[in-house]
Amino acid sequence: MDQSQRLLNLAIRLALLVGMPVIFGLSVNHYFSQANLYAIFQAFAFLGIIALGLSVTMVAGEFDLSVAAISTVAGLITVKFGGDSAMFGILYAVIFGVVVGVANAALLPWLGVSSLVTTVGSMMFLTGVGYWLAGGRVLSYGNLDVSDFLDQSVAGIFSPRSLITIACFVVVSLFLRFTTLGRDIYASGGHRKAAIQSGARVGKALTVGFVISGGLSALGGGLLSLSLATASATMGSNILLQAASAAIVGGVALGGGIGSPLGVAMGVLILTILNNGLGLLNATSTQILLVNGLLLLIVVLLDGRLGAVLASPLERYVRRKNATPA
Amino acid sequence: MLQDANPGAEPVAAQTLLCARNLTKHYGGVKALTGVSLDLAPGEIHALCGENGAGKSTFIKILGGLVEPDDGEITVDGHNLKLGSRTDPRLISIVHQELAIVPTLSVLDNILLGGADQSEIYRRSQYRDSVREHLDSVGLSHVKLDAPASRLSLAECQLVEIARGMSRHAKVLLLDEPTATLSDAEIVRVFDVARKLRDQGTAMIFVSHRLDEVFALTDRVTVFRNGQHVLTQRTSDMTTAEVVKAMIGRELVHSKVKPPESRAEIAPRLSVSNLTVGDKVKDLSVDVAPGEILAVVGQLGSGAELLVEALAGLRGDISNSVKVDGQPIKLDSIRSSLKAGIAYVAEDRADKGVFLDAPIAINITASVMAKFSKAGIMRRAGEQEEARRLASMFAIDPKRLPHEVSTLSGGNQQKVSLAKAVALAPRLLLLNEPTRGVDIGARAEIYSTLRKMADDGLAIVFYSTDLEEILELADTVLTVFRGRMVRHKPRFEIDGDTLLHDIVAGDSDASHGHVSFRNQPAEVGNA
Amino acid sequence: MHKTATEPTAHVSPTALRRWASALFGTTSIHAASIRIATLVLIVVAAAIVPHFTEFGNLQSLMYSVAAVGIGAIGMALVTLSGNLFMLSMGATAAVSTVMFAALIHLGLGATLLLVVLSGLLMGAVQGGIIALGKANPIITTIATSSIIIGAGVIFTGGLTVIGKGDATWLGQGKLFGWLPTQILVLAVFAAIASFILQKSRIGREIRLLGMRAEVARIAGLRTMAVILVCYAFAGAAAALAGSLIASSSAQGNLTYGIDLDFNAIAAVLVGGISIRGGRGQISDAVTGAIFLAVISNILLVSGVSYEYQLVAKGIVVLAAVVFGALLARLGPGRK
Repeated sequence: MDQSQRLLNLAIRLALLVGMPVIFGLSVNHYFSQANLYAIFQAFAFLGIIALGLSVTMVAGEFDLSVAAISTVAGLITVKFGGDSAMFGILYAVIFGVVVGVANAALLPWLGVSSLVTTVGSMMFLTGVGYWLAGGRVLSYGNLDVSDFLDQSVAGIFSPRSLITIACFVVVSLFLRFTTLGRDIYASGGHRKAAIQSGARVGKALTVGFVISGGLSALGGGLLSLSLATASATMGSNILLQAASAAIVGGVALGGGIGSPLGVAMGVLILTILNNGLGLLNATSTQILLVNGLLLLIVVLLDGRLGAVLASPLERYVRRKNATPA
Repeated sequence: MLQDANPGAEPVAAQTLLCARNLTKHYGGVKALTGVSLDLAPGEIHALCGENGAGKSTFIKILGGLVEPDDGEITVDGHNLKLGSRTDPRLISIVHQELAIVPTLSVLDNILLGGADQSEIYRRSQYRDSVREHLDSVGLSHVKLDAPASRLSLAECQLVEIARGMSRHAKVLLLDEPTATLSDAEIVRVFDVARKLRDQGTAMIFVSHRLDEVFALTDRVTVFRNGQHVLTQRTSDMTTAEVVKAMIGRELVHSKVKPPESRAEIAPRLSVSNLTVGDKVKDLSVDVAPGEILAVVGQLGSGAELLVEALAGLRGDISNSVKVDGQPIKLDSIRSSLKAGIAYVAEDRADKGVFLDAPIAINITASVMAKFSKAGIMRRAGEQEEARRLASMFAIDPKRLPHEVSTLSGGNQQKVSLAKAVALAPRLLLLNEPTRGVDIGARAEIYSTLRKMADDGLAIVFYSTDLEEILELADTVLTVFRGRMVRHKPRFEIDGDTLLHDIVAGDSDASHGHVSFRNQPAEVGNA
Repeated sequence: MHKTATEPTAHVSPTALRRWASALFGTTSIHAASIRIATLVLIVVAAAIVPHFTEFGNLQSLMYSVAAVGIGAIGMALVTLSGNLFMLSMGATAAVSTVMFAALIHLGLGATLLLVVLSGLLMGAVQGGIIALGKANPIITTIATSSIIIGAGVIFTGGLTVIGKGDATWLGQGKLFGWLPTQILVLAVFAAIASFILQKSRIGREIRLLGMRAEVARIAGLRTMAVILVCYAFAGAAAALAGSLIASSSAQGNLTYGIDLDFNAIAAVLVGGISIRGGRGQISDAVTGAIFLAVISNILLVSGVSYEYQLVAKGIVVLAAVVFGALLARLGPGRK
């Protein structure tokens, strides 16, 4: 029964992935040009890595609201401290992201609240840190060669940045599928109490989940800043909305336990194709924002109502046992 | 292997696989376990019996390492267990009563979840064969390893849990009410598996209410009561009656209750015709007169509890014809049930019955706020009075009304839960395990208040697994088995043994097939 | 046959102590009481050692900064008390409200306020409806509606500042007795209304009970849908009122004004001691939290600390308050 629901979702996603390019292709000149495909994948490079990180926490039954803030601060760190070597800049940024991830996870058992709350706190804190690091200015990165390198065209439509993102998808996918910790992450999200009771290493799984989220967000933010050769405190402010949409459209359930990197990749592609197409149709950034908001709303409703209606008896039993405010 | 080699000998284990000594756990003022000890020999199947609240679940949690005892020690296979931290699943594995199945994971993943000896790299292929074997042996050969667990029925989930227990290859396997959701055929399978494990030297603790199963399967039986160890004997040396007596502390007194006046002429308060709830309750019909107290009785999984929940409007999957005072009512939601004059008291007061952090007075009037609000504003005076009236009805100290419910004992908390429901001035009162975890004094007060309300015309329907309670409180008893009504008799026609049988030992009618596993070879059952 | 139960005295504090504490601090929650003391201490210490703190102009500026955030915090508090954590669209609602305020001010201050607050109420109610009826995740839903609201705002304003053609000085600069800003008066009245609803009305009680234990509330037949609608509607109205206050100081509206109301309101609620789990806390806690944070910001501002450090400081304070609250919860009588 939920097999058919999953198949239906998959079919819808595939239809969108195929249908939208067709529609846009017919409406816009040069839609399938290398330049445009390259643009799509460039957008994919940043949104994808953020959505991937976020989705891992969602699969674990949590939600990392601080991904956007982490990426912003990471960008600032990279630009500020990567002056001599971009590699070190990225390294510092990723270490920072990992530390934030550990902190986010560490607060959880202590506070006994959903990560929706703890990551609001870190989000606020990091926003402040971001402003502090930026010192009210837009920082620029001197070494434009790095920027050129990261954004050079590979096989016409990719770039090192988008390839890094794709590589991350592959690695995370392998991790979730072929490690016991990956399985425990799914268990923690699928039914937290059952996971604890059966002896799964829930604490470790959650920590790893947030570390992945923090690390990937930081990597994404750092690479973006290098690519743009600038960093500011307000970069990537919309990315949380889009990342959440991409994940949920990509089949990651808000309740946890369901979702895969492949699905997320599809969701990210759907969103980037949508926004790219709208842009080509001369939609303003506002209109695109509106569409994204509406999309998230619809998708959240489907996750709630429809999910409850279509759930199997065992899932309903589990949902009742799991009853929490958020 | 502990067989009946020497029928008269003292039940001392030759070698001891598990030795639990002097376990004690107090929660505040509540003595969950006091100085409890238990031994297991390899290849022994050991029953653990006791009523709700006797300490079984605390004992289980201590063995599993989920709870740290205040005192005592446990040794398994020579290893001294570090109490309070998760026990190595290779030493003790527990198949819990609460399903620990993750619906979004595959069956294979569920079985392997939490197992020891698993490297970080998770290659499922290396486990597939052995897991397949375990699934086949519990009768799940039709279930695919990669199927999502959400597609399994509750019984199948229970069997998967048992398979998981097996796959851990633990020295000691603890099964907590493993047969509650299973059919007879499935139960036979489980017993076969248990015997096979026994032959391999695994020791098992079998926690169950079902005495016929205890007598069919186990070598020794231990009884807990009130957190204390009462006895440990060879199963073959005991009778059902003796075990029951040990569990409840005294003989089941079949007091002569005088038959109530005939209620034939009075129109029924509640009239249920052909009630169906999902696929658990089938075609149930019963009438309840005003002033009558009906007990609905049945094993776990029989559907008895669902009848009460359905009348409360908690189940969406019912088709029914239910009338209250002759008028048909809809039961599709809690609201419609309340509107029909039906009040419900849930079984788990901490989670469903009372607002622990709110004052008692607020709790009591929570369902009837409309009565005391004018234009949306609460009129405190009238409300306080009503709260006081209800509190005194249930012997709750009115001085405590502004205090939070969490400051009360379990018994008094339950009284608050009841008062909350009675505040509605219902025509029908539904109770789910009315005095679970309540001390004797409060019980008596609750029973007398309920009786008084019934005498004033209130109809009461309650579900209970507590023998004493049913015998004490009920005017009529309705027995449910596999979703159907099998017996509906006035209290005075019921004798304790039949009732006990219905609750703890399955349907007493042999034709339902319970005889089958009594005839297994090498069993030590009670003929 | 059942375990012997005695009467566990989980609360050692006798009634007398609680009554005394309640009278003195207006609360029996340790967290909330601590914040009240801390705020007082902070003000006293600041008055003593921080230069320029007690200057008339600075105190004025402090009061103005409290007003809008305080109102926002009150709205947020109801959402939190109902067990729905936070509403992340208050900033967007406030920003759009500044624009609406400026656009309508020519109708007169009273009419404008009425219309703007009403529209905020409606926006909130719609979100409440989506969450209650659609059983949608409250936080994600408000993230989504936040961008829809801003998007609508941008379409209306084209991203430009709307300059109002009317007189909003009573609200924007008005002072009673020569020193008390009318905005503080508005805050006080709003807090009084909210407090009244919460403490005295039926729906207010249902809000608390729903926040405490949603399942018990459901079985007891409480009007859970109505509660969620009311909370979100009220929060929307609060955001709109806050936006109006912000816009009134210059009679101008811009989508960047008040956009940080979410953060500030959440911070105020958390610092003030309202429990994240729902059910426990009072309106005055939210207001106290807002005052506390405003005082800290003000001290930093008047000491020449840059905006960035202020933000960092605020973030640290919020995290500290959350951890403090959690510690208290663990050390206190363990329930659930």
